[in-house]
Order: sequence, then structure tokens, then C-alpha cells
Amino acid sequence: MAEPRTDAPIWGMTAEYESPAAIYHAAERFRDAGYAKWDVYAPIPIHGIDQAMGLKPSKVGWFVAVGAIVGVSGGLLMQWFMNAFAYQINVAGKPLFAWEQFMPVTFELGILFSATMALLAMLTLNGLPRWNHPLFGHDRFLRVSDDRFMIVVESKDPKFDAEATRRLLEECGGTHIETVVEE
Amino acid sequence: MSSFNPDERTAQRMAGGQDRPDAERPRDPETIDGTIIDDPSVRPPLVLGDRDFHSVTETICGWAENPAPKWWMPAFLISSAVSGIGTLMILYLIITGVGVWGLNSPVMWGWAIVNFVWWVGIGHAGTLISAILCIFKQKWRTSINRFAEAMTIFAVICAGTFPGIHVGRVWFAWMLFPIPNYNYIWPQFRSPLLWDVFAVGTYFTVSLLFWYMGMIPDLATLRDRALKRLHMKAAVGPIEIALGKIRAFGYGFFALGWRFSSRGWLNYEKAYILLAGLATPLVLSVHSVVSFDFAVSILPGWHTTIFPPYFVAGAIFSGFAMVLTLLIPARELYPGMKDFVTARTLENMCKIITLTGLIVGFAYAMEFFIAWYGGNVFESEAFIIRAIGPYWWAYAIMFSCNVLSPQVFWFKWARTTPWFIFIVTIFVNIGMWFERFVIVTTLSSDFLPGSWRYYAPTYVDVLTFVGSLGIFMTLFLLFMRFLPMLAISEVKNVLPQADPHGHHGSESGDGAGEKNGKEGAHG
Amino acid sequence: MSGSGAHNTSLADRGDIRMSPSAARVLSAVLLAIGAVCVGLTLVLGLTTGDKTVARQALASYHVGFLIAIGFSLGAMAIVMILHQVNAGWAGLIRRQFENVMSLVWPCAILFIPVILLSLLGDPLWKWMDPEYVAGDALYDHKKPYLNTTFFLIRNIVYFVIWIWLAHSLFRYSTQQDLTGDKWLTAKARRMSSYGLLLFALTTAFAAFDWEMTLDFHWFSTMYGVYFFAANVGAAICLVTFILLMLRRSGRLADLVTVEHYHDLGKLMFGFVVFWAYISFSQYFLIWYANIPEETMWYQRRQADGWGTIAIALSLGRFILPFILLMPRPFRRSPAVLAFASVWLIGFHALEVFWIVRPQVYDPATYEPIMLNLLDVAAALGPVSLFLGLLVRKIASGPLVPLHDPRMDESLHHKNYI
Repeated sequence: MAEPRTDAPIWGMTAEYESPAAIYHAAERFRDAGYAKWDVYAPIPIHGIDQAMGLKPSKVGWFVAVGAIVGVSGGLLMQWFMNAFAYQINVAGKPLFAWEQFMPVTFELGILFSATMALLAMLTLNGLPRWNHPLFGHDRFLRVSDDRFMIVVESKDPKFDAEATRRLLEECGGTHIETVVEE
Repeated sequence: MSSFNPDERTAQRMAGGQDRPDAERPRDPETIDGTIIDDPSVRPPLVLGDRDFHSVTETICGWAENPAPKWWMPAFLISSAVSGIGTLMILYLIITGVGVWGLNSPVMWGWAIVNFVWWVGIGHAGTLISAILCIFKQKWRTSINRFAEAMTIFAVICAGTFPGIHVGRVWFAWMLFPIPNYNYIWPQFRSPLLWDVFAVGTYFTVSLLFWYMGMIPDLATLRDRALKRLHMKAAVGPIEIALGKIRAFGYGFFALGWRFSSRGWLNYEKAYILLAGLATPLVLSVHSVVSFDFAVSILPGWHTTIFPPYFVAGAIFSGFAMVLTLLIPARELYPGMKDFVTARTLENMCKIITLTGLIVGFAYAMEFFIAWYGGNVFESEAFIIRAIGPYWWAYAIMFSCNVLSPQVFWFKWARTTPWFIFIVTIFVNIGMWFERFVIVTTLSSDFLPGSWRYYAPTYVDVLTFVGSLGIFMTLFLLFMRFLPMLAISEVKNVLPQADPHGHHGSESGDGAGEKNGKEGAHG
Repeated sequence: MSGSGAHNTSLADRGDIRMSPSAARVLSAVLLAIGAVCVGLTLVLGLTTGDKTVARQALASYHVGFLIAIGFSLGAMAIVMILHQVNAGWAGLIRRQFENVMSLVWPCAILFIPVILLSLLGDPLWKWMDPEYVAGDALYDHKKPYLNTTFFLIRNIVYFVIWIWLAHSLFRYSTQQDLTGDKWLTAKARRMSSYGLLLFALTTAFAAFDWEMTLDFHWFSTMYGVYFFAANVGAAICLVTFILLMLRRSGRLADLVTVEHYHDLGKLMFGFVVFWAYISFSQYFLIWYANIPEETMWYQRRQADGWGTIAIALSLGRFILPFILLMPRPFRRSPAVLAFASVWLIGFHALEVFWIVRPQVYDPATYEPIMLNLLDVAAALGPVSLFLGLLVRKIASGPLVPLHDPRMDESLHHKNYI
């Protein structure tokens, strides 16, 4: 939470909306206008906003699949190594290696690895943890976690133009259109 | 026709400020709080009081931000004291050895395993509510899932204690991990007890991840609110504590910089549903593995193929009961909670309790039938001894608490009257403890009548168990004090105004209008 | 995608909510004819040779066909009651097809009569019905209070009476609502489903014991009822998904039952693939691990002499492949994949029933390793084909969706966001 400098370059422009419905339609306009580096900030995951924003499906699933494969194969390999290779001992006449007896642990490890990957993938894809961000210096942004909806267009967007973007934000019904400076 | 309009309350609240004590709230004889509606064409409101996003944030964050309620500190001190007794008992056990417990020769697994299974089972409702009900899109779950997940975490902590200490020499507990011990001996994976280590370990980790991930947006909300109160200070004697800064730092640290971006939400929701999808088979597998502890043996009364689903149903049964045991008092004590945890929520949970109670009853019946049908004398004898042997009283308690007591929920009055539900859930908790006790004491009459011995616990057994209840309550009270008890963003998401598409009306007022219309149409 | 006009016009006025009568007539005639031919072939091949073992083989394979057919009905009945009990909103548009499948319990009762009659009059399918075979069998003497012909008949009559009553009442509530539009019929169906499920659980569990488990009357498993339930509910979901997809192909319900509903059916299919795997693995695993001869013999028989190949095929085809196939979300939303998966799973379900029933007739001492021939196929296909023929008539006999379901609006607007 550094004090914003007045001479700092503009990081982006924000506009507020009252309801999910309002921001949904605004998002469609921005998608159609061809913006790339912009985002909709909302206290809830708005149903269908990915389509309104033209987002691609999340990639989290692939990470989870990798986690599952690593967990399952690693689990089986570990048990084979420990019980059928490194330390062979006859227990209750059971075979040294049989898929049945190793299923529970293999399964649990598959779940453990994929679940861990789900969280890590979510954080990585979202660029988290990141405790500092230009938006945190913007006082009105704090209400997004309560009941406000906000569209933020970054100045890095090739289509960003202080005038045109402001006009589009206004046309879509945005209020409190403000600029956020770099931290 | 229902005489009661839930929106009157809203008008009063808006005029007079914050949530009024629940005692003053009107109660309608037919629809209770406006949510018990028989009409199949009406969907009862999920959140009462015609709340908007802001009032949801205010109420739920308020529980964590405002000064603790008067009862909180005494309750915390008592439960800490009880957990202290438990800790002392564990220390005594470690110093002296498992001889301080009531174990004897045929019954070598006593209260420790009973408590372990009981606690793990209780934990399962949390995962069920958050994961399985999430997959089935049961929106009423949003008001209880955080609560139930917290219960899961603390119950698994209590559960994990018992296998840890029951080995006697706890300093050898590291041998459970997949590392070579002395003489390069590796653990052996054909033992169900080792499966337990992996199952319970995975379960704890995944439940924690799920709980934490669900909480990230809510922690960010608390962080943003704490930033506005950064200068809040508390004085303890001469020392001044910068409470505002500590809170902002704490919530901020664990919120990981969550910014509520929709690109973020997209990954978040995907990860959440995948975690739910993973937690669902996990919850089945964990209690199945726990049941394998018994069922892979070749002991009469333990080795039966229905154990895995039967244990899972029993776990869900006891877990739902425990959620209700905690939820009903909390609902009375925290102002405004009844708007989220409606009579409908309680009713739904009662129905699940009845269902799982019947599944458990079905399993008892199958066990008995097959014990006879199988034609194995040891098996049928084990069941006869269970029912009319020295532990007949345990069997009677188990059967009446688990199978008979939830049948009262066939009556509408019973499943919509909180104090009555509370009493029944206590019975269910007791019954499920006794179910495991009945299974374990089957050991007392084994193959050789000459070695039959009656098993009774010592005071150490009893106080360790009581202590685990103390540990659980202590952790739970801390959770209620400092963390968002309800999933804020999820509750907001089931409000009518959260829907961006037409048919609830785009303005936030229309949702209420439609609700009124439906109320009016009823009857 | 859901058509924008779908909810504006009344469902009853639409042209595409009824099956074309001529197509239905042709299709059901073909299916019934195939069924009749198969049954005839079974009679000719099985009963006229005079060879007792061939007759038993024919009877067992016919029993397989009967079990597949009634499995669809019972699975659908469970789904209908569960949907009522949980107040499901999304399923309004697909419930009628489950109801159609459910309502065919009574033809299944008729299909079962030959099995019983031939068992009573001729060489029984259930070995315990043969007094010579069980003479001096101590286990049989112990089980006699349960395993005797009189009680067996009484039990089966009770099962069918309960099922026909449940199916008939639930079906009637739904079709009456089409005419009267009375929303309280839904509440009645919900009430009936609560105790209905309880009765259903008990009757199907014991029916599973009677029809499958007691074929080998020495063997026992407490899990067996759940195993039967898991397999059949999964099969019913596959059948209904397939029916809906075929209706869609012929231009029916195209903008009503949308990809969103198929997505959920795909999830249910996936869920029951996993649930079946869980139940059958747990049952097998506990018996494998404990390794007690009186329990392992059931699996022993089914892992020897070529039956083991089927066991491996089942674990691959009934679990691993569909599990991978239905895992990605785009696949669960693809009608083509779902059509393939439902046919595939029904095929493997049939193979599983065959694998459960048929090895009981095979005698390792006198037979070639595995005896599978035209007779098995014809005998199993007969009842299934007759069932499907009647089902087509049933589907064509009324609207394809409930017309006045009080929660139809939810189903019309159903969407999966995640």
C-alpha cells in the first residue's frame, strides 16, 4: 500500500457498476470492442461472464490430470519398490506384488497429488500470491469485495486510449470512472 | 395461505438498523420462517430478509469483526480446560504405556479405535456438504458448507490423535511413513493400518485445501474491511496492540492478494469444482479404508462385504448430526444467522439424516440376514452375542439411536423444530459412537470361549475421549471467532440479484417482487 | 442450446413432443419380431434337443436377458423416485423417459414366468430347487427356511406387486398431470417416493439375492444388493440417454432437451461408472484379501476357463475406458460421445450380467473351457428385444415430456456454468 504518486504513469482505468446484469452487458461491449488487457472485478463469480468476456476455458484441468497421473503411477511404483523389490517379506501369504492390495494407497496418492495440483494451478494461473497490486492503492476498489462491480482496462492494452476507453465505459453505464496509477 | 411475508422484516431492518435478536422475529405456523413450502411450484428463498450483497457482507464479517459475544470467552475457557485434561491423559499414557487403558487380551482395540472411527466419520459430513452437494448443485448448502468443512478439519485432527497415541510408543510413529527404518526395513503396504495413514493423511490435506481455497475470497473481503479499520487499537493493561494492523496483515497474508477478477474466478471455479469432484470419491474411499481395518480381517462380525458403503453412510449420518448439533445453537446465538440457515436447510439435513439412518439400518439387516444365511456358525454366533450377549445394552443403544430415533423426522413438526432436532442429533451422535463400540467389542467373545473377557474402559479412556471433545470445541470456537463462518461469496451467489440473466429481473428489487408474487400465489 | 421461444409457447402445442406414430409402429414391430424370433430360436435350440445341459444353458441365458430388461426398469424407478424426492428442477424434461422405462415392470413380470415355470417343471436354473442335488447338503439344510420354492414364489410375487404398484402410481401421477395440470400431483409423487424408496431398497436387495446370488446357493455377500442397484441404475441412465439422443436425431425435443441436459446425464453416467467400480471393487477386494474358500469360490469360478477374460474385459470396458472417455467436459457435452458411451456401457452391463449368471450353468468337469454360442446370444437377446419393442410403443403412446410439471421452467432454462 505505497502512497500513490501523482506523477506516476497511468496503470489503468476503472468504472463501477451496480449489478451483475449491468456489468454482464458492459463486458459484452468490451469483448466486442476487442480489448485484451481488461478484467471484470466482482464479489461473486458471475454466471456466464466468461462468455460475455470471451474468455477461453480454464486450464486447471490439465494440471490436475498431470497430478493424477503422477500420483497414481508414483504410488504404484513406490509400493512395488518398497514391498516387492527392496524389502521382500511374506505377509499372510499375499503376493509380493498384486494390484488389489496396492489399490487403496495408489488411489489416495492419486487424489492427494491431483488436489494439490488443483490449488497450485489455480494460484499459478491467477498469478497469486501477489500481495501488492496497483488496484490495492485505489480506494474504491476495496468495495469490490463487498457489493460493487468494476471493469478495469489496463493502459498496457493496445486499444487503450484515455478518451475512447472512458467514453466506452460511460456508454456501458459505468459510474465513478477513474484512473489508477502505477504503484 | 401463508400469513407471513419475509420482507416485512427487511423493511424493519432497513428502518431500524442492524439485525434484531431472533427471538423477536415472527414465526408463521405453516411455513415457519417462510421457507417450509410444500407447493412444488414454489422454490423457497435461500436467503431471507431480502438481503443485498452489502448486508450479507456486513452480517457475516460482523461475526468475526465485532467484539466476541458474552458467552464466547467462558465457553472457550471451559473447552480449553477440558482439552487440557485430555492432554494430561495423553501424557500419562505416553509416560506409562497403554496399560492405563482398559484393553485386555481378546479386546486389544478399545476406545482408541472407536473414537478414531467416530471422529473420522463426523468429519465426513463436511466433505459431503461441501463436495457432493456442490456437485449436485444443492444451493442450500452454501449457508452451511464453511461451517461443516471447519468441523471436518477439527474432527480429523481429533481422529488422527488416537491412532497416533494408541501405538503406545509414540516416538516410533514415524515408522508409519514411507521411509526405511532401522535395518533398511520398509513399511509394508499390505496392512490396512498403513492404508489408514495414507487415507486419513490425504483426507486431512485435501479437506484443508478445499476449506482454505473456499475461504480465500472471504479472507480477501475481511482484508479489505480491515484496511478501513487500520487504526483500530486494543489496550491490554499498559500495552497497546495495533489490532487493526494485525488483522489486516493476517487476513491479507492468507488472502494471497486475491483481487476478485473474473479471469481469476474462472480458474477458481474450475479448481473448486475439480476439488469437489476429487473430494467426493475421496470421502467414500477414506471411510471405506477405515472399514477395511475391520473387514479385511477374517473375524466374525468384521469380515463382511457391505462394510465399505455401510461405513460411509454411517459416517455421513453421524457427521450431519454433528453439524446440526453445532449449527442449531450457533443459529440461535449469532444474530442474523437464521436468515441464511433457514428452517428449510435444517429440514433438508434432517431428511438426509433419516435417509442415511435407514441405509445404516439396511446394513444392520443385511448383516444379520447374511450372518444366518451364510451358514457360518461363528458368524451367526457373533451376531447373536452382539444382540443378546454381555454387550446387549450397547447394541440396543446403537439400534434405537441410529435406526429408530431418526424416524421421528418423518413428521414435519419434528424436522422443523430446532430444539427437537438438536435432541435427536445428540442421540444420533451417541448411537454412532456405540456402533463402533459394538463392532470393537465383538472381539470380547472370540473363537475360543475360554478366552472370552469382558472389556470395560478405565477413567483414562473416558477422560481422553472427553478431552478430544474439548480439543474439538476449542478449535471450533476459535474458528467461529476469527474466520468467516459462512461462505460469503457463495451466499451472495445464490441471491436472486446475482443472476445476470433475465428471468429474475435485472434490478435487484425485482427478485423480491417475484418472491412476493410466489408467496401470494401459494395456497 | 435452449431455444429462446421454448418457454413462451405452451409445451402441449408443440409439434415435436410426440414420437411419429408410423416410425414407432415400424420400430416396435421390428424389435418385437426380433424378440419373438429369438425366443422361438431359444425354444428350438434349447429345449428340443433333449440335452439337459443345453436346456439349462438356454434357460440361464434367457434369465440373463430378463435380468437386463428388468434392470432397466428398476434402475429407472430408482431414478424417478430420487428425482421426486430431491425436488429436482433440471430433470423435468427428461423424467418422462425414465417413467416410460419404469412403467414396463409388468411385462418383465411376464418375461420372468418362463424362467420360474421351467425351473419348477423341468431342470431348475437354481440348483437348490433340485431335491436330488441338495440331498445331504448341510448348508442347504441350514438355508432351507429361506431357500424353498414356496417362499421363493411368495417373495417374487411380493416384489412384483410392490414394483408394479409403485411404477403404476408414479406413472399415473405424471400422466394425469399432463391432463389436469394439477401441481399437487408432484407433491403426491414426492410423498410416495419417500417410502417408495425404502420399499424399493428392501425388495431389490432381496430380489438380487434371489435372482443372482442364490444361483450359487453356497455363496453369500452382504454387498450384493448394492452391487445390483449400482449396475442397474447406471444401465437405466445409459438407456434413457440413448433414447433421448435417438429422439433428438429424429427431430424431436431438439430445442427442449439441450446439451445442458445431456451434460448432466453424462455426469450421472460417469458417476455411476465410478460408483459401480467402487462397489464391485470393494466386494471383490474384501473377498480377495480375506481369502476364505467359501467366499472366493464365486470369483474363482468366474476367473477360470475363459471367464477370466470376461472379468478383465469388464474392468476395462465397464470402468477404465468409459472413465477416461467421460472425463473431459467437452466429451460429456457431445451427443456423439454420449451415444457411443451409452451403447458401450449397456453392452458391457449385459456382458456383466452374463458373466454373473452363466458360469453357474457351466460345469468345469464336463464342458469345453468356455461354451458361448448362438444359443446364448439368442436367448439373452429375446427378452431384451421384446422389452425394447414394448418400450418404443410406450414412448410413442404419449407426450415425450411432462406437459405441466410445476418446475418445468427450471428445466427449460437449465444451464451448467462450470
